Amino acid sequence: MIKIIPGEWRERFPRLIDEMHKLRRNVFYERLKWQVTVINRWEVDGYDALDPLYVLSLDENERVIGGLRLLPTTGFNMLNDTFPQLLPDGARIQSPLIWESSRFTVRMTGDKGVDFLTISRATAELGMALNEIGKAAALTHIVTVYDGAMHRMLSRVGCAGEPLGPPQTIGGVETYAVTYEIGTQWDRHVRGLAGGASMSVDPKVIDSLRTRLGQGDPSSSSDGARP
Amino acid sequence: MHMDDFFDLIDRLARADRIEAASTILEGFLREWGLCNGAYAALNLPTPGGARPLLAVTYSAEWQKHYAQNGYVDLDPIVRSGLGGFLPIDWAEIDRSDPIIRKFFGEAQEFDVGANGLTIPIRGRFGEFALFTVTSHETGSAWRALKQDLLRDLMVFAFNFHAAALRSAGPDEEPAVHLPLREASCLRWKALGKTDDEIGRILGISSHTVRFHLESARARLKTANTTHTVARALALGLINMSYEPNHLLTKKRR
Repeated sequence: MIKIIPGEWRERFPRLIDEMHKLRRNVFYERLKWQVTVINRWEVDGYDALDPLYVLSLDENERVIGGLRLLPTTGFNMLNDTFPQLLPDGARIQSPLIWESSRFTVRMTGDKGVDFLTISRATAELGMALNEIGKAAALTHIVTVYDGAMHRMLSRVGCAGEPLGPPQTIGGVETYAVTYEIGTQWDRHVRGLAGGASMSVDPKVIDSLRTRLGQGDPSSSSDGARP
Repeated sequence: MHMDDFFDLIDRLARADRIEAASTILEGFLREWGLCNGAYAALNLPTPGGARPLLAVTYSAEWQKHYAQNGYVDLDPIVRSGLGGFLPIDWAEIDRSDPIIRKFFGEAQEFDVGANGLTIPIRGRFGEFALFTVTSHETGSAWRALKQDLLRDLMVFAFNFHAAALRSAGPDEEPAVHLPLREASCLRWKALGKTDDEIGRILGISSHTVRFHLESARARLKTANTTHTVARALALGLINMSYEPNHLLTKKRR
């Protein structure tokens, strides 16, 4: 199940936001040993302060098993402002029709069999959600930065993006900038991976996302977390 | 809207460096699409002497006065949602369960603002925010169909309008366009009539990455579509039509 949370709504979904940041800490800080900042057990950076669009994959108990965040390339984003060495010829990529996905993460236990299933499922769901959001916003492409381990992991489920150039070693990590095209081809691919239509993204997810006024009782749409 | 007309509007917008000139072009865009009103509001623009808001709207003077007198900027749901997120906002999807919001939209309609609207939130690289809105008299399925057709052109128009507003606000010369090698190669092969698939094979990338480079170049050169981008790149001398293969690898001939 996919949950889309605009950053400016984070206080309505404290449990999910908390789980996402802890999952990111677990994956990026503890497992991959990236040089990321951990504050109060959360992996969190300056781009979280820009109210990105969070896309989360939840299991049947509504626990976060994967996620990513989106930012437009016209404003501040990781590729242009943190990893410019990955830009072809060093020129910023800034188009209203290209958004950036970052901090893509999937829960990992170390058990290869279990992890493969989680990766396939979360990746398929997140891929479908990205495509739906892309269509809703009339985008052409998503660009994303990830590391070699992620590239190989996504390659195994046929979901690696196409690199914009050769990988660069940044902070000791092999890093790629890759692109995905919004459209039917990608959609078919991830749906196939998800086992047909059994795991579709409810169109209401996108609609509700765009009904953005906090008029109703915020608790009615919250995630049931206790203060 | 006819592609040539859109091409022409975007071309004029790319040359506009005063908000008044951009507003005239906006009126042309509204006419071409049979739209009702257009509105652009920017906050935090990097203006010399401090950040200032900038406004360009086609709403009637009566509505602007009514809006100001009632302090509607504080309750306008479009402003509230547009300044937080960056997904396009369809006015038809705004929650109107609150009677105050219903009253607001009712009055807007009385003042001929339009029955429906589409707002594009803009985030810029100087940390500025802007909202670009168009409104329509269409409702129901006619509105949904119009929105479907309109959205991508509107995104392109909105960001080009914002670029014109930035030029209007700041005295700084825009830096000369630098076209990355891959974008230049894709454009040049496009100019020679190759398809995306063919270009992909020539450059050893997929056709979807070819389209990624073409879109990035389109935004960079502030054009309407690939044909327009090729024409602009040729005019600026960023690509040339020579068949000598090593020209592929030279960024600038002039």
